Amino acid sequence: MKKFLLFLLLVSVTAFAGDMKTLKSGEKAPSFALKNYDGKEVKLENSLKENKYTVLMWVSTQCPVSNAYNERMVKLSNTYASKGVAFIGVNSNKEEKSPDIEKHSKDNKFKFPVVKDEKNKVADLYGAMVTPEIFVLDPKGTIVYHGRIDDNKAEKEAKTHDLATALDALLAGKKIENAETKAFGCSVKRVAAE
Amino acid sequence: MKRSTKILRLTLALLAGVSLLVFGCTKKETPRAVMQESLAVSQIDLPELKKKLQRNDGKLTVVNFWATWCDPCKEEMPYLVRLRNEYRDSLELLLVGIDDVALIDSVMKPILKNAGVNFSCYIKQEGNDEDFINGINPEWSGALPATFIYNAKGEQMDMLISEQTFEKFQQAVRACLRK
Repeated sequence: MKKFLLFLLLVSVTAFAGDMKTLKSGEKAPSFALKNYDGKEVKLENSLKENKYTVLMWVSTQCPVSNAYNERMVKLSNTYASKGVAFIGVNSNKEEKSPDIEKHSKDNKFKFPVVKDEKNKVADLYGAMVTPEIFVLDPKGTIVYHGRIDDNKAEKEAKTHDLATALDALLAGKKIENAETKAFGCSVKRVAAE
Repeated sequence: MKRSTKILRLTLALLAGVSLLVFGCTKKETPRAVMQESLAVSQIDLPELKKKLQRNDGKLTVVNFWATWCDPCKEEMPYLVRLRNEYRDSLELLLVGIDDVALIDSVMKPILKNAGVNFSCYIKQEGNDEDFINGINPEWSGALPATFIYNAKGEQMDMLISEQTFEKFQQAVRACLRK
């Protein structure tokens, strides 16, 4: 009986080992502690305790789509900081190192930390696949919005400002109409599976 | 008529006949596999794309979504062209650009040509990106490059996200051919 249960466990683990599911609204967000480019540790649980909402943004220094959103990320983070919303950038791309991230952040005047996710471990936990990609967490660590910042990488062409709309609804205690959205972007550059 | 004249006429006629046989009637057959192809890019929407996935020749369809701003897309494109050439009897390749149609001639075509593309390609028609992404596969995040493999019935058999090597493409195609 014990051997059979062990066999079942092995099969279930290997069956799911190759599958990566992206977390969706309503699901619990995994905790993490990663270093910002200045060496300081950023703990998700602290951000959840200290803020009304935490916005995780998967970003890239090289992706043209992520970079098209640099100014919008700055505007959003500055606007919502005073409303109790914290922004944390996450860089999981294998080729983008902390010095690159630091320069990129400073050049683009990011006031939010951009943590380095070595070997895309946190990206794998969240199933983050694209840059930019947003996960908004409530204080309990539940994902309340997932997806895009808005519907067009050209700022002037954007018609739906999904992240801002979601945050406004949350802060007003209202339900988010579109809690799951999508947009084209660059794939997260993962390390090769060992 | 003199005998010698008759013989001469007969010989000439024979020579003419042989020449006709050797040089005149022989047509070079263009192998079915090698047809005149040329690079072209036309707009396509989701329903039109799905129609193309239904095939009556038993071949797989490999659909690759790429963009001019996507460097990994451009890097893997020659592998897809090589895949198409080496598996010509087993698969068809559809390259679908995710870009502004204004870029077709100035940016898209040079990139395609550089990758060795000399066949018809497509660009996603302007419209709701989210509906398009979900229409291809609800599990697809919209990350590029993205490659999907379909059987001849138009059923999706595999999804490859991010840049692939030729070996990875080949492995995926072979696995689908075995099914």
